[in-house]
Amino acid sequence: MTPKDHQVELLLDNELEDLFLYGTFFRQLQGSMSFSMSMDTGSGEFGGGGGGGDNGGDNGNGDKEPTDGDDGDNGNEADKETTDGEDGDTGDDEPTNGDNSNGAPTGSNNDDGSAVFEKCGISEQDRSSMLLDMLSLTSSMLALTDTSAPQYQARMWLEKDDGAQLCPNQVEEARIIQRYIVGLIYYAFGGNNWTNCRAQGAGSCFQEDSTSIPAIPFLDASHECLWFGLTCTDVPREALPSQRDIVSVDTFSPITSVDISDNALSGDLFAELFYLTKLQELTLDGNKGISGSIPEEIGLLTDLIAVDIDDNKLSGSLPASLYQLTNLEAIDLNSNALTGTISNDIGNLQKLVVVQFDDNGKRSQPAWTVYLHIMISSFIEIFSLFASY
Amino acid sequence: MTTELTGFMPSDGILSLEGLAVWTALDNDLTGSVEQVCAVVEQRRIDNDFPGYLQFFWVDCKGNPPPVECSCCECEEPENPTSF
Repeated sequence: MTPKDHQVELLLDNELEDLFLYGTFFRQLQGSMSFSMSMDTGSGEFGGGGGGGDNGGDNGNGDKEPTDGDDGDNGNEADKETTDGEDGDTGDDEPTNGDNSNGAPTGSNNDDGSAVFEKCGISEQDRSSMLLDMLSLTSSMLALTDTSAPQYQARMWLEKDDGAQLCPNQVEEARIIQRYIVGLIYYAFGGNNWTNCRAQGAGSCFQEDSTSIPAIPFLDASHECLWFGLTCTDVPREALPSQRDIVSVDTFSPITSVDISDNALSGDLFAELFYLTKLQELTLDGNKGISGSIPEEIGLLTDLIAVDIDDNKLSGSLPASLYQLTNLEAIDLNSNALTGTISNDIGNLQKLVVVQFDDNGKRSQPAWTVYLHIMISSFIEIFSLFASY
Repeated sequence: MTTELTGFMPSDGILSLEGLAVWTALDNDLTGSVEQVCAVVEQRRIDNDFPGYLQFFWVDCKGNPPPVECSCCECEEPENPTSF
């Protein structure tokens, strides 16, 4: 090999590393984010600024990195990031730390004494840095390193406690991001306080529409497509236990449905949820505790057919990007605290069949409106049955 | 500070949704008129066009003028339900 060949090989290696760190899938995703940036107030934020208030930037995510290819910062910060001292500091929501009962990774040491993550053939520190880089495609570095943030807790679970032991390479990138986001569903929505299917002490764990086949709780080592309330492309919603092994833990299958109703979820609706860009159904109704505003990132869900977040504490106005979801057939945002207007742009959504915006003043409902909702729910169920055929 | 949806009922948007079967927006503070929507609903029923169009169209007529007008549709006052 000539010196020039060597230089070319180094260059290719660097390019591969870039691909690896900022893979095509999420570059495309981030590219598509530019629309919401332009629709936003010009603040340049998405994913929302850190913590507290009512509007889109208040999901505790911190400022999301810009999508203009300014990736170097992430890498630099990642290089500085170490895992020392982070163990066990995942807050009250940490369900698995310490006991390793979830198949959490084990490793040996390099010759220099540094720990090796055996499955991936890289040091634990390198794996940690690479994972951090990948996750920074969806969450801000601030949130990922803030020990009080659910993003940090989800990251720590993925890195240290997740029995799936995913390796941060280009092949698994989309899978890692997806698994992180569903882990974030657990941490951001107070998973340890859910009434059904908590990661630990779950007791009964059944899908709402089935009492025969137990679901798998969140944060299990199995494929996330098998977890309670989640459905993926090509994975049966109710895979029998004997079928579950056929879903390799290393396979990426995009999540098409998140359906976790009446389960005491609480916390701000976070922007990262909308990076599950193949979602067709988002059902979080009846949890009574989901707060914050609907992020502009909902516009990423171009396949979305139904969104049902009624009976929660959503506030703020309807995002403009909502009116771009041209596959939407049903919107149910009853019983929240939404403000602002309903745009005539709703006419863009030509597939709409059911729209419900009742009771956003959070007054007590007269009995007759309960009757009305029952009637409409029955109608929708009939419509759903009809649509499924 | 209001904690309700406000502004005009998006009648033009509603009218352009020919497959719309259910629209409910009770207990908010929406204003404007939906007479045009009601007229179209009636006409489509007469013509038997879009048979499922707006089988449920529930809006309220509370609030200060201009209230939502729903002369063809179910209408709910805050304390005293009335059907037109």
